[in-house]
Amino acid sequence: MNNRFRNVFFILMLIGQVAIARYYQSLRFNVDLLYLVVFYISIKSGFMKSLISASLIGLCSDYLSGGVMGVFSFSRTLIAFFLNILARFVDLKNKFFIFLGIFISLLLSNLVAFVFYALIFNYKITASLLIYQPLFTAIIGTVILGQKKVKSLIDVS
Amino acid sequence: MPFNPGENELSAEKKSAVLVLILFINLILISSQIVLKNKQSLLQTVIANMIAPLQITFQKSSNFVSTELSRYFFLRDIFKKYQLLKKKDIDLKIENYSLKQQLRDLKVPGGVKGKFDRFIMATVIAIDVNFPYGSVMIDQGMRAGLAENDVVLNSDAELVGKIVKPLTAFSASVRLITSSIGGTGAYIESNMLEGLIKGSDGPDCSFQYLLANKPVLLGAIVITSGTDLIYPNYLPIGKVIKVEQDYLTQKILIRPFFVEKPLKKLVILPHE
Repeated sequence: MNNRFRNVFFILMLIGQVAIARYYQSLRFNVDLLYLVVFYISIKSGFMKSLISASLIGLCSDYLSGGVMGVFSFSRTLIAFFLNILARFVDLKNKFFIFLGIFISLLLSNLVAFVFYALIFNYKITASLLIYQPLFTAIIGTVILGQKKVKSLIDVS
Repeated sequence: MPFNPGENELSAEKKSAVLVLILFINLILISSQIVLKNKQSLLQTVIANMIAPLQITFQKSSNFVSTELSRYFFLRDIFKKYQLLKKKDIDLKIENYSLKQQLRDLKVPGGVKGKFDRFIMATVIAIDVNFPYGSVMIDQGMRAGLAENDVVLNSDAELVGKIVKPLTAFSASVRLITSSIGGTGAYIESNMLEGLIKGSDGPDCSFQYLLANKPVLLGAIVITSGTDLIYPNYLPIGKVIKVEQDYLTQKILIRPFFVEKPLKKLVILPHE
């Protein structure tokens, strides 16, 4: 049951992100549903699984965002590493902490990506990457992961 | 599925290594898309900078090896060619010497060729500087069949002297008739007046014991008499250059023919 839910959750997130990238291109930097998968795997799985999943999902994000390949993969891997370490110390039954966790981690992750985009490639990144995306993604993540059933699944305390 | 961090837990070092590896792979991926001013990606530039010293080293090494190899083969061939040329040179020298000898034989004066069936050609290789009219050295020896007392003529078949010791395989000494040692039996050709010619280590010879009963004219030809059992008779020796009358004999000076001619080629008549 848990596995089925998890797989459905992953597929839905993927479909959602692909749909956003294809049909709502203006929103592609405003929300990152795939990051919720990274977040989920990082707090639920072991070290290797977290890092490899984060790296691969990051590559998907790079592809869907149309940016430079490897940037999101790098930042997501880094954040997955920290999330994997810190998850055990945070009470993720609390919606606020879920929101805060997603928001701060995505903000930091995007900050790393922003460094690459802005400093190396001279990309002009708007506030959407550093503010809107963490905020909207955290809201969506809190809604999804804050449900009772999901909360029971992500209990790492 | 409860979270169990202890399950299949990796050591901190391994975790760090995996993280660094994944991040490094991502950085390589990113660097491959950073285009520098030289129109190459950062990855290409980094790889080029890393590989360049190796490439230069390899190139220099290969250049060095190829140069040395080509030099080696070149020198090896050169040495072979040098050896061949040296051998050829020696062969040519031998051939040249042989041809020269043949030519020398061909150039034998007709007079000698007609008069004598068997003779040996020789070249003067040394003259005694203290006694230039005493003896000379020739380039033929026992190997050519020379023996002591063989008669030596010049290229006009005029008497020069005889072979004396030292006689080696490839050289021989010729005592000239102008030498103060020994003597030669001779006639005055015009009146067959016989006497003994003796040298004085000078250009002239003198007749000894020549009776004064027959007059001798200046310029008369002197020939060998054969009475000394060394020289065959009728070989031209020289001509009379001075005649002085004495009480019973007459003093006659003779200038041998060979003295006034270049003494280079000689003809040796071996004894039968």
